[in-house]
Amino acid sequence: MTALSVGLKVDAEALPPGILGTVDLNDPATTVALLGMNAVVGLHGTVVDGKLVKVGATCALCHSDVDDSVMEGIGRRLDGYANRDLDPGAILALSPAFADAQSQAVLKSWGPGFYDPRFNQDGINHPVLIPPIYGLDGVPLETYTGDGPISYWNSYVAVTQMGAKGPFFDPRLGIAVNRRPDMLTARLPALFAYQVSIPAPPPPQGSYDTAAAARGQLVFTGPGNCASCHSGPRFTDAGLRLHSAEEVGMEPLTAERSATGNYRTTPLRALWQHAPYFHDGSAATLNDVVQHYNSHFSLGLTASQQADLVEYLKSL
Amino acid sequence: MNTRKCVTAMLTSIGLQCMPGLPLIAAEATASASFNIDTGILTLPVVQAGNQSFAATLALVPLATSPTGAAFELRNAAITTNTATGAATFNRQQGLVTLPAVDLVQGGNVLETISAEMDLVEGSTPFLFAVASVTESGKKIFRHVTFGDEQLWTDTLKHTM
Repeated sequence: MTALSVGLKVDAEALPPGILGTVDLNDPATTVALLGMNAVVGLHGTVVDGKLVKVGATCALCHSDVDDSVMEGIGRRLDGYANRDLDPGAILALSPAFADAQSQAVLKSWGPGFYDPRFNQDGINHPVLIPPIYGLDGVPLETYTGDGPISYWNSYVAVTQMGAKGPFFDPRLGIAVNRRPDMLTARLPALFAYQVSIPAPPPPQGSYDTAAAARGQLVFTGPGNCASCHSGPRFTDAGLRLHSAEEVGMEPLTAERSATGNYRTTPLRALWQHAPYFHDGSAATLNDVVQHYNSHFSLGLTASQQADLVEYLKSL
Repeated sequence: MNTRKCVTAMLTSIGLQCMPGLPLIAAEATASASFNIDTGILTLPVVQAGNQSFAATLALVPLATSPTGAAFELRNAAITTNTATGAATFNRQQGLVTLPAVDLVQGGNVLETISAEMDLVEGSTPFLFAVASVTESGKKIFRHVTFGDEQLWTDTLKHTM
């Protein structure tokens, strides 16, 4: 199995000029060589005499993509984009550590773009969509369930999911891990500063109807009542309150497994870029999102209003 | 109020004393914080301290009591209205200067971008900041740093290659 087949991406700018024309991309040795060049996005490898002796994962594994400017899966880095081609379950399922039938069944059920950051904590199989992490400057709480600020989640993922050496404590979840030496804590401020500096990509020119979007904005703030929760400059009320699953018509299990028991109002940014929507990917399109809330809140929006609202969302 | 008095007042308001003879400079817009290896000068276009921002220039000096053996002595400071993404911050309560991104410049070329933390040496005149830690830039951390997670991933990922 090659790296590309499980959704790993290649940073074209890390490659020597012309090398892609001379190698067999289906040869595992090529993947090893790419790791040695730090060209596989999100993986840091150490290669000695053509053999991979050590490899680790970084934040970019799940939260960077490439622009496919060379070919599909190979191009310039797009930090902050969710890697929706990545199949973490398929990667983990290849490990001897998860060779038992039950683990295999769970990991292979996730599919590309999904990951369960609680499975190894509570044993429940209920993956969520890998989210983009751009446009987070000013967003008070991270994660679909608003468990804490960005650096809280950085620590959670690094320590409990990536296997990082460092501390993570959350009595709400009953987690207390402290691997030494601490290779994480001193890096959190700089990591945070970079994350919040990543802007949301603007909608491509001509990707939405501007007149309809203007009408849709009036629906958003008016009869759609969207702005009652998607409020403020980041379109979220996460700093003020969270919402129960019942209130927003979401499945309850993801919230129940979190530290808050609730859902955070998702900040709206670059919606054109990261379909599907909702934490579980249950809305394939923005039209599905609008239909969900129109039905759940009995908004009574007309088909025309819904269409305008979708155009407005595409403009954000 | 002239510029010097204004700066003195602002420094005092955040708990710093403006020492005699402190030269003041006009704020200049600079792209990012930088340390010139050739001259030993650290240039900070924007340091956020409470509600105020300052541009500052510091010089590298040895300091035996610093965890890294290095410190920076404040040479110039001026109020600035400039802003910068990832600007340095100064927390008076903790005496901590956080530098999220500093370009290391040698021969006019940026060799690397790092981040660092510095602690104010209490009672120092002129102000002295001990370099407490130096790490990679946030961008480098995001892209390349594993936080020592190889123990988990080496066995896992070697089987996918």
